[in-house]
Amino acid sequence: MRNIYGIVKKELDKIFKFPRMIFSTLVLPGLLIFLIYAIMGQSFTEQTNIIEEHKTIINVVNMPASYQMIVNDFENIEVRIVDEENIEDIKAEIYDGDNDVLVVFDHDFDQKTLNKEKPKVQVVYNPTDNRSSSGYAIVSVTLNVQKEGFLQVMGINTNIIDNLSEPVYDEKKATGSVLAMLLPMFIMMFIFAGGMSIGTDAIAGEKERGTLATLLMTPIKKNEIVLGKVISTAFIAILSALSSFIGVLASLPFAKSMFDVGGTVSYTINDYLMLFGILIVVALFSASLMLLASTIGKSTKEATMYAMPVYILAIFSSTFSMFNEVKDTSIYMYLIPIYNCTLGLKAIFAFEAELLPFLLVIGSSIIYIVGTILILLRMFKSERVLFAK
Amino acid sequence: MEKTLIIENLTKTFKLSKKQMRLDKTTSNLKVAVNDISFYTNGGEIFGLLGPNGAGKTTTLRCVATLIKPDKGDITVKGINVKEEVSVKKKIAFLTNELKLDEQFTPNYLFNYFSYFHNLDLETIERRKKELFERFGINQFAEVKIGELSTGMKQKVSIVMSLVHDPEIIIFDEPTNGLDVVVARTVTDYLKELRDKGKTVIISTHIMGLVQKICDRVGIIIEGRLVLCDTVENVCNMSPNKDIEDVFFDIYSREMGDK
Repeated sequence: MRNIYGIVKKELDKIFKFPRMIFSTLVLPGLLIFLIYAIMGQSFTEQTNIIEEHKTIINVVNMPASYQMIVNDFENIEVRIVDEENIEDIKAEIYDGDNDVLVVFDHDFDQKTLNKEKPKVQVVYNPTDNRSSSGYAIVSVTLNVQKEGFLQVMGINTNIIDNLSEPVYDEKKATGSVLAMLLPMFIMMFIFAGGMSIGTDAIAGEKERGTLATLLMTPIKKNEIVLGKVISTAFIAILSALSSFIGVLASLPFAKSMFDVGGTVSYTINDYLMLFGILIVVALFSASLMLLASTIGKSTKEATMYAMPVYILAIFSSTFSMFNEVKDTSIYMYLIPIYNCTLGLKAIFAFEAELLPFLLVIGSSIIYIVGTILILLRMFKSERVLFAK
Repeated sequence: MEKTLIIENLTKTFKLSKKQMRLDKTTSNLKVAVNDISFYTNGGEIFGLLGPNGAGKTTTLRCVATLIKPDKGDITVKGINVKEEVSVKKKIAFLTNELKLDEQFTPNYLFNYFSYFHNLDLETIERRKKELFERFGINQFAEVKIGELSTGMKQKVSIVMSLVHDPEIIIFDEPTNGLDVVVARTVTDYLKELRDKGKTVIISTHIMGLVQKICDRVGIIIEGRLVLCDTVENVCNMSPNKDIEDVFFDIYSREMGDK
């Protein structure tokens, strides 16, 4: 028992006698979970608020009196009575995400119901658009209230009503939305994992092995060492990301069946160029952050400990972006480090990339990269950091 | 005889962390690691810096090797001030037996890697590689990964990597500490060979026997100050037994008497 106590004490001392270990082992997991849920909650709330604040537009063709009475009582909806000749135009608007729902009743719907002539009501919506989906849900409720709360009360058998729904959406965008949900997360995860695997050892490992002093004794400049390390780390990180990119594209047929989407993926050369641009900045940013951790750390183990929160942050930032619609993204979001790149990737994969947000992502990321490299260079020149014991 | 290295009034101070202050039992956050040191070395000699751990030997040599910057004082290497880092680095090698090379590479690969940064032409690289690999018996495992080599072999390769550019001054921090006995002998023999070729070898050590055995002159550092600098013969003569260890401990007791 005494010996077991000795072993247990030593193992626990490895944590409790070192504030850094206490932080990374005991404080960090709880802190991260709190942050994740707090940010996810905030993200959900914002998304819900956006939908709630939006006044759902319900376009109605051949409005029957029984439905008019129902929708008059619903708040936060705008009912537009439209003519039959406008049906195709409104469908096109719904397809483009510029309109919410179209409800087409048969002529003399109420009379046909009374005559038990099996009247039809058709609902057109876009399942790939949050506002339209939300509008479809509202329309379903109103139609239900119309059936059960009104017609049924009058003793009319509502089963005779033929309810039809017609989803209209761009198959390409639907496929894109699936990719936009998965790929940014995979890419961010692999770029940061690639950066961490090579970056944490790149400087801390050389310090630990003593080879940094040998390298510094050659006529090489410190700036050249740092830039060489950044480029090689970023290159490996990009290769990791490309591997995941190819993997996801190859698995797309399976993803399609999983998510019930059709369509083909056909990105333009501009999309690929933008994607390449973002991959480069993410890789460089990841590399410079990992090398910063590597410069501060006295050993690879210590550097990994510093790099881990950055890695986790990158993964979760891509997870948060899953809940954001590209068109609802505020412009300032494209300035948030790491998260902006996730949003940029999401917009490209969702076929919704625009020049201004892309330039903001690239521009702000370059500023962050340059800033991180300047800090890195400064630290790399510090005797205290390089030869710390 | 040409003075290859001249150190004048070298002072280097370090800022201590709170943890280091606790360990050193001091209330000041500054530690004078090297305090107003002056000495010189000649071509064709082995100079030993002798002192206990933490005396300031490694700090002095790191300043000479341009790895850290002095706070005060001047250091001249073959007539060039150490502020001209690139020129000085071409003339100096800084070796430590703590060096552990990347395990996935071969001695041949690493030799080419370090040579690359010294801007040596291919012919020179191959000539130096042949010389050093033959001298240290590395040829038979030149293409074997470092991770697969024995400790002694790894130590030989580590030493060779710092000598690729045929430096004029070779600084060796604790040259035989932790070395395999056979490698230690190879190293000391090689240092003597370098001296015989007119090169300057500076070693820092706390091993008295090594100084007495291979050094021509010695500087004794205690608490950051150079308290004695003379030929090994003269220093040994200060003791009735002609033993450098006796002299060192006499000086050490005198210097540390009140502490």
